[in-house]
Amino acid sequence: MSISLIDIEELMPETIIYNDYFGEEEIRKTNRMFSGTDQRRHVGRDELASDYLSTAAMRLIERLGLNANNDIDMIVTNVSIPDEPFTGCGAVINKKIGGKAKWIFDIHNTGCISFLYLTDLVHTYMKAKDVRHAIICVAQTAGGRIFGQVDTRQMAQAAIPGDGFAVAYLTNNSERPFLTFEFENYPEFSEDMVSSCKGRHWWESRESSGSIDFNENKSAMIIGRGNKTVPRMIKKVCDNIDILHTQIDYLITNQPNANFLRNWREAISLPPERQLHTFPQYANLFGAAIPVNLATYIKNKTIKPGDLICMAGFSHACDYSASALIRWT
Amino acid sequence: MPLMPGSIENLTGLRRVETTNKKEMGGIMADITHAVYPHEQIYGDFCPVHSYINCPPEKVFEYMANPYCLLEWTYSMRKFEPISDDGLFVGKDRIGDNTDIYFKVKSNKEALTVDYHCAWDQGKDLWMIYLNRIIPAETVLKKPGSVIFWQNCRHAYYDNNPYPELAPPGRPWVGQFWDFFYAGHMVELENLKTILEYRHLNNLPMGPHV
Repeated sequence: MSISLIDIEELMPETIIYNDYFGEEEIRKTNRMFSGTDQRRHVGRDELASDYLSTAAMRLIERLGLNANNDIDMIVTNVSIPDEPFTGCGAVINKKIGGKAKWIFDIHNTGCISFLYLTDLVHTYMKAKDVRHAIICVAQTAGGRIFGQVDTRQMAQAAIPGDGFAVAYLTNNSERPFLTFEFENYPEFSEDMVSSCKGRHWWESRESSGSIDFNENKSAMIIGRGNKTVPRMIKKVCDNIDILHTQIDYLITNQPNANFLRNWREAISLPPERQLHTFPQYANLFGAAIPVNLATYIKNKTIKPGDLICMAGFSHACDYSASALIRWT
Repeated sequence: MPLMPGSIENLTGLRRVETTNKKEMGGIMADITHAVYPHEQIYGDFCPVHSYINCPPEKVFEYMANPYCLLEWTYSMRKFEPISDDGLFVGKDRIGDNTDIYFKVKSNKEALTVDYHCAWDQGKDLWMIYLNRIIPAETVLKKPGSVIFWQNCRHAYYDNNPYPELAPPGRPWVGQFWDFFYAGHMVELENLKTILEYRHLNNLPMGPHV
């Protein structure tokens, strides 16, 4: 495939939030769905996703010796809680890096697996519009934006999301190509995760902060969906290039909780050291998990030239799922 | 008030709604729920197989309770003859070379259970027990037909033949095949389903035809 992942940079908020910041300590201690993480990062009130993403992009520009005017044709973003409701932040990033990208898309769906959907979007534009270079920007901001609020942080679920940012640089060549992708949408599950504002719509004036309603009555079904879907998607991409899933050197997924991480690894018979995640220190990074983990483990030299990396996951209550393989040449 | 002897209040480790709230229970269940389970964990000590058969429970019972049906649906039990008045049969299990298999059928029409008590090489100690329960599918699946639960338990004799002096020289012991029991029993249960559905759905005599 002629889309290559050339470099990737993660950027984490400096503010470390420890477990004692959150309420419902007893529930978090006894309910294993809310445990397994010691720390997470939160964005500050006045910090913007576009600040973090443009800073990370500038690091890539400097490291790769790029000219922001000529070497970035396309910017695609996914920001879990957007800086602005209407405009998206792609154009703001373009402004902050001094770029002249022509194609900019702020994609609001595909959450935890958005990195792969955005990659596919870039790939499509590379084929259709001769896009040569693109940056993919993924931001998780729900930690500070939603679960750092005084009333919301008292909920057990507040301890699980953490914030993080990553930017990847992709080119239209075969320097370090993605080998294969798989994507699936399950419309029947598209309304199983919704915002919850205590009886108000999220756009209405209200006195309480919002949170996420994961629909506890459906938790067994959602666990079942995730358990079935992600291993199946991993096996699909392996089938695409005729390899066994045990030949994957490293698995990187979204990291909703410790159980899913365990179950996905077990389902493809990988030992723990071949699953790369940052759940204990960064918690659930939503869509940023896959690119942040990839960047983190490239930076610390765990991922070495020649390693075959599988990225996979599902979003929300399993409305989207995707997987991909890349060899880190 | 003193606790009653044997009261559950004395027991630690019980998970009951009075002591384990629903939130905690949710976490415990999520933890127990995996995407895949090792074969050993599911079939290590017990080997359950089950199937739906489109044939009424009474017909399934009549067929399975007839010892000679085993000549039709088992993979390898052949050439039976009764050898006592109390229902003991002997035949050949062709999975082992020159192996005699002894068995009795113990069934209960009211409970719709049919158990096969078997052993290789001798008929005095029938320790290899195949437990079958037939359930009207109408009650559990709301459709005509039967559901069959077939369960084996890993008796200690599977690991060590208690009567090695009776075994033909060089013949592998039945317990060596325990890890194939799920597969073997599924194949045989498919045989049973195929035979019963063929005869029932075509209004043929149910047999066994031997």
